[in-house]
Amino acid sequence: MTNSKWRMLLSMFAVLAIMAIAVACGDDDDDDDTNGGGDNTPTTQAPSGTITIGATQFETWDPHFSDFAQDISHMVYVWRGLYHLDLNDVPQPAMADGAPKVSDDGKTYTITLKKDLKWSDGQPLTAADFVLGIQRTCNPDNAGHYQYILTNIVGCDDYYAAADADAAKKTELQAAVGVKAIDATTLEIKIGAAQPTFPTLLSLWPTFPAPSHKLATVDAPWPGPLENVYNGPFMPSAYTEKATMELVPNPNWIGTGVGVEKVVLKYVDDAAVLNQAYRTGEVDATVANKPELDKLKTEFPNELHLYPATRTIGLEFNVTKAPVDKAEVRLALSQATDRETMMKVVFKDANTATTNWVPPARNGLKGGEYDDILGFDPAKAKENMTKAGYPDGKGFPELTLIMVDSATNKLLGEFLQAEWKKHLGIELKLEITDSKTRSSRFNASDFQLVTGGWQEDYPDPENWFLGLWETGGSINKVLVSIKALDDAIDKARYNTNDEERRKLYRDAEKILLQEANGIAPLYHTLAAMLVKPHIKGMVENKRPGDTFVPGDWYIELWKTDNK
Amino acid sequence: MLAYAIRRVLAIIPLLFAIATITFFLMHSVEGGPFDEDKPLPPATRANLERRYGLDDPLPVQYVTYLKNLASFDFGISIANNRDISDIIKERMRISVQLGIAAFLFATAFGLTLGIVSSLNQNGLGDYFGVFVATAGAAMPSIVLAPLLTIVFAVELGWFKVLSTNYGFTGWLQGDFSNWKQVILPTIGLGFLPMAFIARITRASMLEVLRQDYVRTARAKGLKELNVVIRHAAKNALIPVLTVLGPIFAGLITGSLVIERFFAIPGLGGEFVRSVIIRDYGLIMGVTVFFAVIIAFMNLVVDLLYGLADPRIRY
Repeated sequence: MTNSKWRMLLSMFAVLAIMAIAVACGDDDDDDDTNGGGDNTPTTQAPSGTITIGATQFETWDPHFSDFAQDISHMVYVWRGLYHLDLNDVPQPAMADGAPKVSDDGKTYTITLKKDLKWSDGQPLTAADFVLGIQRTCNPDNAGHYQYILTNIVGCDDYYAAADADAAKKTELQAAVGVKAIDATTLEIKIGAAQPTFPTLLSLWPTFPAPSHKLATVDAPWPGPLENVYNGPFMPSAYTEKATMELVPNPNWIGTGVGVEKVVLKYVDDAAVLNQAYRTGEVDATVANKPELDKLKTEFPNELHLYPATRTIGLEFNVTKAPVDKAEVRLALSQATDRETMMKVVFKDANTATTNWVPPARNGLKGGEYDDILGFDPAKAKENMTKAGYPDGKGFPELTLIMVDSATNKLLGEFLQAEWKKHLGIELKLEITDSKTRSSRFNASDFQLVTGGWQEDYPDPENWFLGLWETGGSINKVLVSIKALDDAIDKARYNTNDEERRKLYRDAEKILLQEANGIAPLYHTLAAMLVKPHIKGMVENKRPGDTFVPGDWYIELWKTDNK
Repeated sequence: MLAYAIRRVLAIIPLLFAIATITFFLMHSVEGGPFDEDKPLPPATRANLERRYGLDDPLPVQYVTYLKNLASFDFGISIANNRDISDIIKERMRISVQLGIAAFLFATAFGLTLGIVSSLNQNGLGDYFGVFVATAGAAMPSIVLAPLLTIVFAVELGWFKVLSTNYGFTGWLQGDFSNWKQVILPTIGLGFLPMAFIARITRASMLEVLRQDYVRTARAKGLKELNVVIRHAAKNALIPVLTVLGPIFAGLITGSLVIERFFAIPGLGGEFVRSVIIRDYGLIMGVTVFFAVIIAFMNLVVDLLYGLADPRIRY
């Protein structure tokens, strides 16, 4: 080894020595981990303080393309649509000046925008921007994931299906999409059939405006966070992919004044790591790591918030595959499952047991309506197995449950194996795969039994049925096909009598569950969040759809006592 | 030697072609695609998405297109976030390289010191300490070490940060050391295992060399012990160590899933694993080919370094 190599080695030591000295020099950093605590004095009008939250890197910044929960949470921080859902899930005017004027046949919506709307760069925000937003979601080349919720807008489906058409044809179809700017502040939208939930859809990201002064054409690439313009309460001021984003108040936000000077998002994939960062005060609010829930309950009794999320998970049966093609077998499997014990043993009370498909609150029910049919009852389960021709499990064909690989799922699988062996005398085979393999099997209807369910896109019972349970429904992968169910959904879909509509969806749920046709619900998930006491406006504004922190949809209402 | 180096560089081309081909078909043979989401997509949406990313073409067509693009260093667009894959690799790699180099320096400095100190005190207190650290390091995978470091030094003692989202030394060059609390734990976490490995090899190699006749001769002719150890023993003992440093370096700079995950560092290791999980075909290909290039070059560099370290080796 030459002298120069030894010199290099020595310099390595020097670097290490410097690092060691730096450690010894102690703490001179700016940790804001004084947990203010409990002061309820209202903050002044001027925004003040910084809130740092744990978040997940978004996949795409384009609201007309994305369908990822973490993306959507970002998007409502920085953009707003014509309407915004309040805490009761009622659409309230955001960019729109009041409720839409709806024609007598319910098919034409005329919406006036608030006066002097501006993008964050000071350019006027006009009706044309909302037209472009909806056209982008319907554009076949953009291939927006959520086009299907705009299927009722005249011409949207035709445009979306024209991927192979030539440019001229595409331009023609784009112009034929039923959304028009009458003038700079008046928007007209035509839909195919009167749809009571349409104003709700005008609150969601696929209908957010697109800055036409930034996008030359409908398929122009969507600018990144620092190049884009915003009409929401906040806008990004700094961004490093996979690391952090800083949001500051948008000077041209039309809504009520915002409470904080800065919101910092730290991108971290692992909830356990985020919880450590919460302990050290590096983040002020974050999701709680569910496997650690027991510990967190004692460690942060006043900072841990558990509340219902709109997600239902159950046993999903491919009703065309033996043995779960028999209603008695599906019922027996459901009745041989002790959900209450499962919640304690497997999930440590991070979810709540259910036999309802639609979360009861969403459906005007109390919960427990289907316990008699699907709830834990070993005697009934045995009886059903006998009826199906498998007394004490004799002659029962092989049954495989496909699950995504995770510690909790393995526990769940073993729990079901033990329960069904005990009560029904059958062997359950587990196939543990990665998430894409499971989804691919599910999407191809190549399975007997999976655990899965639904996460609500928008707050209405229809979102729990359309496409999912009709014969040939676009995402009906359990292949359920029941005439009465089809009829109920069909009648409910464009029913303008809200009470009747909701009743029809309750009827549909009954038909769906009475023979566990495709699903036997097991649990509704809970959101579990940690919030430091110096933060106000998060917990007060929690919604079932929160992804990062409570009150995700109302960033403008967050405040902190920490200056 | 130049001719040898050129030959080796040229040999990388067919190697890359083979790796790209195998990866391409292996990747597509795995069940599940990028658009198999938890919530099934309606068929019309899926069709448009596949078209947007060129996945509607038959596989051989996709393969030929890919190779054509690769030949012009075009890695394509990531399905996950619509960004240019070479930009993603460049950004992530910049962080992984800094982490890797820091961990490498840590591992080499402490590994060599421990190994040499152990060998000089064979069966003494220093040796027991060295062997203990080396064994502990080898026995403790980073999946255990990383959370342990976090719990002890960040959560309990509060000396460092849990999140190292701003890992890097580029600011240090301008005199900005504000992220020092974020860089130390991940560096130790990543460097500990290779440090233990280097310490063991150095110790074994030193022990062997110290028993050689020429070392005895050096001592017999009255040289100072420090001179004997450094000039005569260590110089020869380090050849086997040099052999492992190349692959260790390549391994360290290409990112570590575990360390990146536990310290929230946006490096290439996590990106690569994620690309496989979500079947981001372009990114899987891009990172694999990129890794292959790095490893091939590192092996070449090590082979060339042998020649410098050991004059008996000729090309």
